Amino acid sequence: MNAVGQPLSRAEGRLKVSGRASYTADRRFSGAAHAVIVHSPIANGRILSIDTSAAENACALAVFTHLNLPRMNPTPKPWSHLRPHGQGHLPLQDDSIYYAGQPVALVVAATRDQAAHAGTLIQVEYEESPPIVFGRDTAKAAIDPPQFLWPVASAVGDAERGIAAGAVRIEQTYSIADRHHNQMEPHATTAMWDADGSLTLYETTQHLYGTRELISIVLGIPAEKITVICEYLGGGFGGKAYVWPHTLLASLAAKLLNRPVHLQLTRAQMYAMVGHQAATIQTIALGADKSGKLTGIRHDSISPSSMFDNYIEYAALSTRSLWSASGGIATNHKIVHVHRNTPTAMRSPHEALGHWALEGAMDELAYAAGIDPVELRLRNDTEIDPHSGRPFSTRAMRRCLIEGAARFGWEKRSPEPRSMREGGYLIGQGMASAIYTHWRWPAKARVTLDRDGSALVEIGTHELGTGTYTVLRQVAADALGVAPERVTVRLGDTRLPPSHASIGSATMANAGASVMLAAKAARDKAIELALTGRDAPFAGTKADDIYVGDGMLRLAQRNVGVTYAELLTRNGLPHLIGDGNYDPVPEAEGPKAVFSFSAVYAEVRVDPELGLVRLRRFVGAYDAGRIINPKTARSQAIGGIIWGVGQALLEQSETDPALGRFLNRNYSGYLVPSNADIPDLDVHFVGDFDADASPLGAKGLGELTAVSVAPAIANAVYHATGKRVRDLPITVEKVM
Amino acid sequence: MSETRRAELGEQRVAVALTVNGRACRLAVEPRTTLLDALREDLALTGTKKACDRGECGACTVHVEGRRILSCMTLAAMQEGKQITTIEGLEHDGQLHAVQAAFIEQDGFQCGFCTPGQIMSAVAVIEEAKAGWPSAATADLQRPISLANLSKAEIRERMSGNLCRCSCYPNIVAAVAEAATRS
Repeated sequence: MNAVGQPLSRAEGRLKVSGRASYTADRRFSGAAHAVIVHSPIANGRILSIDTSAAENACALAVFTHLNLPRMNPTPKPWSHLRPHGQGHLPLQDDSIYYAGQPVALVVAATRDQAAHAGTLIQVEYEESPPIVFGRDTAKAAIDPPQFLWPVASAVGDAERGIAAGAVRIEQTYSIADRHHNQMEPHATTAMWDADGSLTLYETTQHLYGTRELISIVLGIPAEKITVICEYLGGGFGGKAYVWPHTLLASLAAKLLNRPVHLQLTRAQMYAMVGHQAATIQTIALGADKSGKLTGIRHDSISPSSMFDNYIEYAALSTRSLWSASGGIATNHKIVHVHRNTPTAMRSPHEALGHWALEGAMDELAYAAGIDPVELRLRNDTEIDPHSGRPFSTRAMRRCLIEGAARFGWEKRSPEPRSMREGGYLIGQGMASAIYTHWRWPAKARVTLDRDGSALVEIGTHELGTGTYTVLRQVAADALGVAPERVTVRLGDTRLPPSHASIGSATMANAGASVMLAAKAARDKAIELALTGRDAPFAGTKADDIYVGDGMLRLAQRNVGVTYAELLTRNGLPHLIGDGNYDPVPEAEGPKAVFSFSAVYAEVRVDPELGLVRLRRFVGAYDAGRIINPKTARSQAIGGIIWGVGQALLEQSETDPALGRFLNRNYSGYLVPSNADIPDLDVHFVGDFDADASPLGAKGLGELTAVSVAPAIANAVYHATGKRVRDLPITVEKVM
Repeated sequence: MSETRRAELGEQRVAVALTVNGRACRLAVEPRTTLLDALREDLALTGTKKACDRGECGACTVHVEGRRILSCMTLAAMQEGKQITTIEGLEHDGQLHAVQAAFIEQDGFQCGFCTPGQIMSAVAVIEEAKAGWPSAATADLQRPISLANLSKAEIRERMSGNLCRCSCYPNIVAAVAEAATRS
């Protein structure tokens, strides 16, 4: 029986439920000192003076400020968050302050409590200037940023003429609050140097090699002298794919003090220096004929970035490819430089923001044209990517729409707003669709087939909750023809074959493909031995006649087989090693457009007097290609849906307009969904094997599932109340 | 040297005797050391996680005298003489606790970081239900709750002190329900 496609429980489950999975801050090193960052309360200005004497006198082993920390090499230009350089500004290099929460000192002591206490004794005098804060006023001064991912603007056809020609037109502004990742595990680093100048970093990262690359550049040490280790990550969501100030500071402090230095950010500091999802102000315009067929789409977005980097939230990206529009589609992005740290990718960057406007406007169009929202989308479905003109590799949007509607019971919905009630509550049902970018990235892996018939998979990828240990085991088991329990997976270490960042929902399709290739290479070596090795059992036959299963090689025509163990023993080999090198053509250069798709359906209950919105039911239908493990895939999907519920109803990082500082820097002020907020969720996979996406047939899933949850809920709120909320999150005052 | 100064330097320590996972432990901790830090730093029991360090997320949940408590919200010195159980103390003779097994079976976790706290809460939820304790989701306070009527709504309410950013909530509910029926 194939392991791929089976709902296997997590390979590392026992370690995780017993507290034995070792996260970065769980590792203990003798002689390690503890570091604490002291950060700026002001968002704009400079340091006039800094008095560290009381801290030094108290119990600090060392205090570092811009006055005594060695200079670092600048980050590469042009800045790109993909390389991965979280932000271009480096800590403790001069007296300038560009954002609230910027590190101004690093205190190192024997214990964390001592370091934290000493930090409170540091006196800093600032010259303060008013900060620029993102909002509707400052957005007026938005500028055209340089490209760092996709082109900033796009135009196919003549969108304006198309919109003007429409019998029905919608033009609205949609906005979303700033949000923070809030991984359960705070960012942490332990840095230690060997006598030969090599650096080992235990790091909370979802990009081992990017961390190594940036540390190499900024600290000026050869990459091969740096080892980065992360075997378990307590949630990433994009925010741990980049290098942030604390990692650089801990590394330098460890070198200067010649002892291991451990640093864990406080929850509050996670709001200041490790990225966040930028707010967006988006304008969307749709034109459609009487039948609801789109004649033109324009989608523009403005988002903030830091004073020193050009991060763009590509909110209008997916509008380029989701629906066809006969006249044309135009998109554009602008940014405003404000006094804050650099925003970064957060599940699901770009797409989960842009669909808010596009799929909200589609619902408005459905009502304006008098067409059912599902039917409207079926009429605008397309087999050709409007942006690139390429056919989609696979696009099961129709199945997502129809099967999702059937599971939800959409046909029982009464279309008029405020027409469905239950007791004193208003009931609303809404839906939305989504498209998600698929990435093809290179990855390497090694599979070692042991004489005892077990196998070891080695790959420098990451386990951040996505089930990597489990799914890679399944892939290798099938390629080798062994039971999954016989396969051990090692990951999370730069000494392993290099893989890509675990971002963009790309690990299954790409890292997974390299494991499949490595396992096949090991299997082929075994087949070669069976054909031509010592006492070759299948001499005279062809490799094509041999198949593997149950830990054996078998000859198809005859009922004979040989175990891997026998084969290796016979040839005096301790093991066979297979190398996998997956080096795909980047998606943008392929003949097909590869995307994942979904249609999601939400039912809400609204208290008309209090404006309280409760999610009652949710159905998600997803085309993410072939599903490797339905159990872990479903978990990713429910996680994505709930992530979207947070975006829809709860999450907002509020900025003080005068101080330029994020205010609600904890779980009490920044609300994330809790167990009682979430009803039963229905997850339905409709995808098929997609050879253009990956040799495994899998497309991206994790982030797709967080997209379009918010517009589905907002559309349901409109259906319940007749009130169209266009600003996230949907809090009570906007509903009442 | 003054007492204040000694305290600043962390030299002033208090002796604390705890029984952790059935083992008697004698610690000399700073007065300001939380139970969470004492478990993690002094006893190297790192299964208990520090996520918010201010009583908002539940990741540091342990049992004191059989009741769940946020170990970041109490000082080690306040628990003198108490019986503490952490996630490391749930397994017996290599056998997982029914709640641990149910979390694996129902995939009640993803990254696993909040999981020790979730499981310690879940074990306590089942004991609280057995003892008939009501919750905010209990409709009728005249009819004491029991394991048999520990509904999904009850589990959701009782498990809401434990945040999970991977958001495995439906699977956590399923795991607690499964473990409750086995108990």
